[in-house]
Amino acid sequence: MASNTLAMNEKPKLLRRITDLGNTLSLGIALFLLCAVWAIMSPFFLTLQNIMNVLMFASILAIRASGLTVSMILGGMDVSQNAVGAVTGLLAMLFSISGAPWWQVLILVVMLGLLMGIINATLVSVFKIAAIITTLGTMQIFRGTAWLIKDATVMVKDPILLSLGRGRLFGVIPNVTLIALVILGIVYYLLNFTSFGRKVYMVGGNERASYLSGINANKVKFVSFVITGLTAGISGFLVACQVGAALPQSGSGTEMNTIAAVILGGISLSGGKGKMSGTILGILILQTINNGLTLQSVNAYWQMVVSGAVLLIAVMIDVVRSGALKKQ
Amino acid sequence: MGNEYNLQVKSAVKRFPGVLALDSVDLEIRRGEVLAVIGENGAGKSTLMKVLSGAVQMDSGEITLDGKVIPPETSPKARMDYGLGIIYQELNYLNEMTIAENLFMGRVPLKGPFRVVDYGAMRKASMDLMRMFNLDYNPFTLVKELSVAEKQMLEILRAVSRDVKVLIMDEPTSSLNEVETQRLFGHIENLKGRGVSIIYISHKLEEVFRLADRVMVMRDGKRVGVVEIGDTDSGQLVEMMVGRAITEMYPKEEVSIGEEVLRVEGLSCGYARDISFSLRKGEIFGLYGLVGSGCVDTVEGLLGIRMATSGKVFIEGREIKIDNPIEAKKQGLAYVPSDRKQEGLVLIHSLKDNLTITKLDELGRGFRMNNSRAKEYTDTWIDKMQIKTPSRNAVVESLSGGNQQKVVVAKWILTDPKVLIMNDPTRGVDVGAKVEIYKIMEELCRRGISIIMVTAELLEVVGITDRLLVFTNGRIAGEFMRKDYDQQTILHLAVKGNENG
Repeated sequence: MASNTLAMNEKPKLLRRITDLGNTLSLGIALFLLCAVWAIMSPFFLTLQNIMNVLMFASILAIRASGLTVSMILGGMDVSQNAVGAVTGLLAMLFSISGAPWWQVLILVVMLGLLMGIINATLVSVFKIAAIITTLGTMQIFRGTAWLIKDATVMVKDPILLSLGRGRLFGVIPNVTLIALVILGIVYYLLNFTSFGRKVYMVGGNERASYLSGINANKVKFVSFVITGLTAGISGFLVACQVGAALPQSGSGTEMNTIAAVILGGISLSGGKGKMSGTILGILILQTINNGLTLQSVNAYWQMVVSGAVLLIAVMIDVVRSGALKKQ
Repeated sequence: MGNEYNLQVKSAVKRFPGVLALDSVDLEIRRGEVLAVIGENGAGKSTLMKVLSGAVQMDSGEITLDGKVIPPETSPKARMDYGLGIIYQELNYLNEMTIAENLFMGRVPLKGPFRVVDYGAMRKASMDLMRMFNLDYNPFTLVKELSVAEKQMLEILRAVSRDVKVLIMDEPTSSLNEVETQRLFGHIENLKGRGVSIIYISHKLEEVFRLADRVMVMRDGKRVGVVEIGDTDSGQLVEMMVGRAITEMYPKEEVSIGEEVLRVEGLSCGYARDISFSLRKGEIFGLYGLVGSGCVDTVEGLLGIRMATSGKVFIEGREIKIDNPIEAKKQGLAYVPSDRKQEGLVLIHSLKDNLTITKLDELGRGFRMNNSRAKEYTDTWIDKMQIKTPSRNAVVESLSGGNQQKVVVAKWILTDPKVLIMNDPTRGVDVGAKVEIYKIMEELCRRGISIIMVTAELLEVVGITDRLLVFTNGRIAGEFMRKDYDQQTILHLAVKGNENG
């Protein structure tokens, strides 16, 4: 190989490693600076109690976002996730108060997530409807279904389910964070260490070329959207466990929060690019901003304005850095 | 035809980072003359045209038109006022607007106190213009309803309506069929008659001989020479273009041809009708035909990329059914598509990812993907194919056309195919890389792989194949063995069939 090496393009290995890390690294630095600022402004920010609070909220979002990362690397967006979560949460809790033991409820959660994922996946990969349109449609359908199932709040009574959502290991680490770590780990492994993961990146980068290379692009798409649906179902269920109640309107109006975090994490909307690490950092940054603003007693509406602005600024920095403006 | 030149370029120089794209190039053209500019890809033809049209500003040099110097910073639009027009390969029109609106884009006639569009005047002016070329369209037809050839005609009309003196045409026939090409040549003759000079960029020698008065050959950013068309032949031009004799370009060796590997019977797909042929082990088999003759439809039908309406396919005597590329791969067919960037590669990903894309199922077996095997494959093939790359992790988009093509070929060799189908495998690669690709093809044949090569380039198909089929109008017009190759006969067959159609 040495004889074919073009000396001028060769970067030292260490330097290449760092530039590969580029996006992750700058997000990490941003998160660190953010924490520093909040720590200075509020003595309460760096307490264990507060950090674990941030993690608790971030974890459920991260589960949802991990599935979204897969479909967005494929170049498709899933906006139906929160509605999938609402249906799953409601049905699971209704099942639970009808007397089902917790483990049966968990099985139902997985089945519901898979089922709604399969519906999206079929529309996207078999009927070739653009992902964002498919999920806009199913978002409405699932949300309507949730209201039709139960036009009221369903309280969670099962202590095991409640402790799943609210409990802490050794009284410190939230259980949802542990669940999130397992799920994020699985998705990370899938994306980075399996041929399925490679296929997601290749099909996302160029579907036609991948298909002509003998990759079953439809199958890859199908599986990806099932994964997205499954993570949506699980996170919706965990939200209900955490709140102590399942609501038909759960997550309504905040569909874009997960998408914003994933984009902040550096995913390319045209597909093919993106990393789990970016998604996790994106979620942590947005959650930390909200937490800090809450500690400063900034009202919730301002928090929305700030989150939106942060997303835009991050994307603008990216545009400027990539030199896309100069090409015009 | 006088001896005075109406357009002159003196020592044009253009330097891009790392390349001297134009190395002090001169060009002169007489009034009413067709000057063909030929050269391999990367020879500097396109840069020269861009310098002329104003799309690119030259570093030094001088352009004069009818004695007037055109300052190098003149915009493309302002050059039009000097009488210098260009028709690019990618045509430039608004699909959703009418012929008349496209013709008068930016200078629509207005009338009345409210400056409303004068459609009557537009209609009349468009009709007058079309009559000059014996065309009879409704000026208010939407452009999207026209064929590519008709759209191209529109560009010629637009240039004429602006009193063009020198018209540059960049490979205008690349997406035309033979009938349309004939018609275009008729229009070019018409333009010549009106005193318009034409600079005709092409790499198709056949066209150059049919159309040009003189030929200018470029190579490596330099002008190699200018010859009167009557004083030259294709052998000389090719030699000027590549800087070496044609025999060196095609490193053809005698190979022993084995038993039958693939047989196609009565295949119909798209434009291709009732195609039958058989392919033997270790041979390079050419499917030659002009654009739209059915060669591409044939292989796409064979590979299951498009639905074949009828026909049988046998591999090693066994009948098989192929409905998609996934099945084709399983049956030992490999496909190098003509559009490398859209269909051959995932440009944003690394060389390693692209090279191992065909092996993901094997590499992914077990609990974890075998990354060290993937690296091994990649390094082996970078070495074997001499792919020039900074590393196996380089993004393929950053590689040159020739190296990209090697990646596409290598990813298929990894699958150990029986038949490698290559669609225009040397498109957009430079001469050096072309020869390397031919050598690779030879090497593969020696190892017992059979190759089907689809091409519209006569020299190439005659140079490299052992046997070839000529396609016209979706049908096989003839079959030739290498010993019977005769360029005139083969070209004639390919062209003539289309005339009849």
